[in-house]
Amino acid sequence: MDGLLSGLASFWATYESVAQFVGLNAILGLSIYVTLAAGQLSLGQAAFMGVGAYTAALLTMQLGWPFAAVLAAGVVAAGLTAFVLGVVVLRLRGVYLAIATLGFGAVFGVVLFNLPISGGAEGLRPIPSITTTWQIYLALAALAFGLWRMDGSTFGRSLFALRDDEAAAASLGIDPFRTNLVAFVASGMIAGLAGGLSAHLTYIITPGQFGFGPALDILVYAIVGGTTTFLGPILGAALLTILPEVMRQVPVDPGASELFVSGLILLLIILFLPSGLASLVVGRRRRSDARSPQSPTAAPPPSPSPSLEPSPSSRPQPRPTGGSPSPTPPAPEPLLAIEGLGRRFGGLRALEGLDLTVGPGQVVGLIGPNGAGKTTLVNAVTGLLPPSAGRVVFAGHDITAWPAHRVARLGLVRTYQNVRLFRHLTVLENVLVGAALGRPGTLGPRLVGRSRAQEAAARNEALGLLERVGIAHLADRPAGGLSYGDRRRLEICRALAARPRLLVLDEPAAGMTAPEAARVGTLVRELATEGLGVLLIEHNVGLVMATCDRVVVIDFGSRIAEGVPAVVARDPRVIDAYLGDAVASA
Amino acid sequence: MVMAEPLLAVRGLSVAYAGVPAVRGIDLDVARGEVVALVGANGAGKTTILSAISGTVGFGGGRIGAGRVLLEGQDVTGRPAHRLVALGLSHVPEGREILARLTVAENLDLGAYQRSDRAAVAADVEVVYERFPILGQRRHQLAGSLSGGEQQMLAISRGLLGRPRLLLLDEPSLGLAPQAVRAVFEEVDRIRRAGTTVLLVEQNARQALALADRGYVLETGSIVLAGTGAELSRNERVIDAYLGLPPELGANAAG
Repeated sequence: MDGLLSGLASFWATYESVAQFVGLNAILGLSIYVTLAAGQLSLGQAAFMGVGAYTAALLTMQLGWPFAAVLAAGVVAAGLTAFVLGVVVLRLRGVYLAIATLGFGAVFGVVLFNLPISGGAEGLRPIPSITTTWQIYLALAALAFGLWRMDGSTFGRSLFALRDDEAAAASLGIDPFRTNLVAFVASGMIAGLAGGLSAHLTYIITPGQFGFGPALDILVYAIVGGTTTFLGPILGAALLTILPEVMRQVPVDPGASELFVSGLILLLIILFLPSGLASLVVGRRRRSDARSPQSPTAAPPPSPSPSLEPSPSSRPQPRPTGGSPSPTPPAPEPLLAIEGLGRRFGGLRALEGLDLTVGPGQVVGLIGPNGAGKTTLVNAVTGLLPPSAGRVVFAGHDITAWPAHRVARLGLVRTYQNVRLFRHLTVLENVLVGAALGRPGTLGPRLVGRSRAQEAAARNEALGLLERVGIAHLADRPAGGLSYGDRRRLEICRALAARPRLLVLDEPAAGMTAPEAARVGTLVRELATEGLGVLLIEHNVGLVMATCDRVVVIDFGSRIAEGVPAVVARDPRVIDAYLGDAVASA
Repeated sequence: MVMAEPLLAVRGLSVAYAGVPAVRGIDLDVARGEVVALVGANGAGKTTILSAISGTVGFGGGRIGAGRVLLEGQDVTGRPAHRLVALGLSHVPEGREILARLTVAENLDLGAYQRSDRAAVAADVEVVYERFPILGQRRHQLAGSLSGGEQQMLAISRGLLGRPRLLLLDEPSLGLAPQAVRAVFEEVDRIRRAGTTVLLVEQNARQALALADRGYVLETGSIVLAGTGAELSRNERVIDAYLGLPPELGANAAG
């Protein structure tokens, strides 16, 4: 027994530092995970770590602050740095963002070399050794818990949504810039914590520890581990930290061969586990809260759960901010008023002097030949494309040239002609992203374990909506695997979950069989009787005629006819420009 | 009705996405010179069948679990798409998938990527421009700037530039205005008269069956009905499920 204990003790003495670096690198992996979850590639993590490390070390050495205070100061300093940098560079995407953050790392290195206080190339020493293994793992555990709770929260889903399709996310009220900035700052703070902890472990810090190499290492932890769950970067960091130590034990000609073998192992992982090590643990998909559709048992019962009932009467809850109180009669004040809207692309006039109104409870059809400007109109109204002339008034606000997420928050929600779903989220999660609009977030409650009732209610409502459009049986499928028509139905469902006051449907029935299209028409009519305004763009003329109160026909960017369907269908200009002779008789 | 050795024969084909079956053991024949339509609801497996035939099903995450695809009796199951193109198979996918950042002319040129007879290709391109003057006028514009109907004509023309023996058309009328829909069906009819064999997937079942020599009706991955276009158009089950009543709701206005 004594032998075993002393054996363990000597083992631990040998490997404790490995364990410490596994923990620190895992924290760094988590720091980059937060930005990768939102689809942002940051190579500034090592520099953020450096900011935390230098801040903490200097405060310990020069002012003798207590350890907790220097760690906190390092976190704050790194967070502030990330904030300032993020405000500047987060307009960039993908490779450009990576280069910009890399540039920041280079600048940071130059600053460290030249500032007298940072000790130049010599670095700082001696830094008292304060950090203990359990402190590292306590920090790691707390962060892992936080990110585990984040993954399934409204905030986490908004990050995943941004990663899959930024425009679609914005159209559901997610502010891309702000959300990305929050993620970026959080990631800087986490890296800053790792910096403070590691500075008080290693006795000395030098600029090289926070340079290009370490920045790439951190990215590799996340890629090898996988970026669809917080577990990935932890596993990746563990493997990539332990692997060189193991290789060192192999008594074949040290040096190059160990690098070769580690490189080979990495290559094999990337080739055969493209979703990273985490896919071994949690399967190919992120563990999702989508499973149990209803869990009212444990939760304090939510007030009669909104729309479990698949009947047409299961209506999304009116927006808390004051929806339309009287549903039926078209109010004198239109919900949406477009006045003189114009949009040019270079010399081409895609839209010119277009007027259009939609009242609450009204279904207005917008038809016209391909290329007439219908989708340009939708984009100009919903903030994807600033109009070059004219005004858009919605619910009493002049929303001309508002960004997409603000338009959505006001209750004007759209679908896309070419269907833009969050492909890597499940069907249910897609709807939940929509449902988060205008509702309190779940990250806070999830962190303190008080989110069940709220989440169960949201889930039930989402399932009710899926039932209503007829795809509830697909709730747990990844959205990317749906057939074309089901993708369209999901997109409508996701838009409805955002509880719009006006819904813009861009070719909702494309790719549907006649009976399926007719069901879309029925749904649109139901929504209108519930007080929703609908602007319906559709080439299925039968559907338009059967569904709309009023039809606007445009050609070459201008209105050529407007009126009730039966009259418009007989208008010679419409027949000439759009219908051809076929429908006139129908 | 079906010739002894059809141009395309599919035998017992099953395809699944991440273990979820999408196509369950279907048999299907397309004889030379025929237009054959696949009709069915959303998610029935029509697009999956086309992509399994053309070797592109893997791009969408699908896997052929069982069955064979025979092109003129030759087993081509699971061959990569570019090699099937060399065998005379051309797939015009759902949603057109023209290359938006290339010009019209470059798109067409890529349709003839595997051909070496440059002079004949140039002549074929001129034929396209004659048939669709708008494509000729815009040959140096980015394909993404075309309207939906023009893009569909470009996609079909690009598919034909490989001089295929079998053309797979997936939802060619998708998202098109009534007049453009009519133009697409006229084009398919012209392709048939020119002797190219067509396997057509189309939600616009009424027009597809009116045009097709034969059709298959798919439900949840299985073929439940087969017959001539005229037979299927009169079949009550087909009328109820796919043609829809009242007719003006299903006609998509052109016809």
